[in-house]
Amino acid sequence: MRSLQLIVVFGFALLLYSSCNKSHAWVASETILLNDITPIGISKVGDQVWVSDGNNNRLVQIDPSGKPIGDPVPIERPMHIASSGDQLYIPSYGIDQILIMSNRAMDTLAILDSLDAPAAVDVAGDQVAIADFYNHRVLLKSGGKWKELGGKGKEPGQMHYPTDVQFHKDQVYVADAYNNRGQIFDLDGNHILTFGEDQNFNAATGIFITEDQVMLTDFEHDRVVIFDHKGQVQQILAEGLNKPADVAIIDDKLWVLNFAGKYITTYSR
Amino acid sequence: MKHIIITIITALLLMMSTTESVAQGKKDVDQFEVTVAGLGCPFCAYGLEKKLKDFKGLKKLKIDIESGDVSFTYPSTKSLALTDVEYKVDHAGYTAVSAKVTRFDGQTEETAEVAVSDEVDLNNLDKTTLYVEGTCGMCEARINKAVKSVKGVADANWDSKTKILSFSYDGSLTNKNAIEDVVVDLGHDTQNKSTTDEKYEALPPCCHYDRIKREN
Repeated sequence: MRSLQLIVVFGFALLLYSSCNKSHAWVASETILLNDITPIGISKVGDQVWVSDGNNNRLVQIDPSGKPIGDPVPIERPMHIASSGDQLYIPSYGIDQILIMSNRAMDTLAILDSLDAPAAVDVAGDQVAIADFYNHRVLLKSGGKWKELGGKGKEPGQMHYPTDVQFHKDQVYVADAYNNRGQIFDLDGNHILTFGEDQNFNAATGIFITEDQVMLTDFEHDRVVIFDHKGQVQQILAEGLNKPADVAIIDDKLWVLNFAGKYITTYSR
Repeated sequence: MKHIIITIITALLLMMSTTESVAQGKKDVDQFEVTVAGLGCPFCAYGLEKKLKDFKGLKKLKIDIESGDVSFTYPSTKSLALTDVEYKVDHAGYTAVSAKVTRFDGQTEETAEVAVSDEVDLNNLDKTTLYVEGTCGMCEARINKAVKSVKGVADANWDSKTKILSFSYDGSLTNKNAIEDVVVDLGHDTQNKSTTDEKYEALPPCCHYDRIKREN
């Protein structure tokens, strides 16, 4: 009788553990076709979702079904975009500038240094981080001063063509694309952690950070690897992905932008 | 009546000026079309765009990543040679598989695909393989084009998954060692030889493989 009780308790615990785990796993929920949009970056401003369409030199606002809303905004090679307040920040890879769009009106972010193919930007309050692709660095504005993170190389803290960047809790997360890994720095530029080096990435192009997870796209291997903040792998999303360029959480769903496939795969949990 | 005559004359002048400006537009520019192999990632493809912008005066540049088709116009007065365009593309680490220019006067020039030399004895070929480091479709295009360009080589195919270059050649015209030197000169390490750091660094971002570590 006691054995039976133990089996029941053990079974119940197993079921509980299993269901808890399932609730934390991302499950594919929807495919949003984008027709002729080749998505590289995505961000939400207010209730507007914007996608950068690099191949077609434009920024496109889309509805939940992927259909364009209004006229696209012409921008030379827009890459990984970000939002802050009612403003959209757009790195233009083609003209080496960070553009700021507010209600479709354009301005330019003043930067003392020159960029060479900005691939991403993120903004948090008065802090700005820019992935400066051909200069192998991240330009960081913090405390009113610009500083440089990285520099060309493969050692921890160095970079090899960074393509995405995001702030999270006084830290800067970098998709160190062609070092095939992610890196974390503090706001003073000190290197904190390198992760994903053992995951056989081939071009870690897009990054997104949540309270408990760090998501990194593996462009050539058609997958997204999800880590915890210590760099331990939690989940790998692969099925149905096609050259994922960026990843983001929008309205509690995880959005993966499939550059080659011209569609978005969403996940929920 | 006077209004009608003025309107007709104005219309005629407008038509003449439009026709002239169209003709002038055609006179002004040469149209270049290049097909680049292996373009896959946007970062590399848009990088090619930046390299081509070094040709000052270049306009209407279009790059289709999926097809690899690149087109642009260039002032005809500068007489830009097709070989210079092809060199620019190849020297930047990309691989032009075909190139064509339509000059302002309608004349066209095309680069010929790499052909097997007439001197190659196709009935007496040596077949062999070589391990070559590389990563992607752009590496594949670069390696295959360079090896096929070697006099004496009949065929070449590098596989990005196995990293094995398979090729056949006429042993009286070339040899495996010479072909390995050609590949190393491109920026790729092979099973026996290492390329220079300079050549490696000159490769586009997505072609940067893990270097082969050797004991001195």
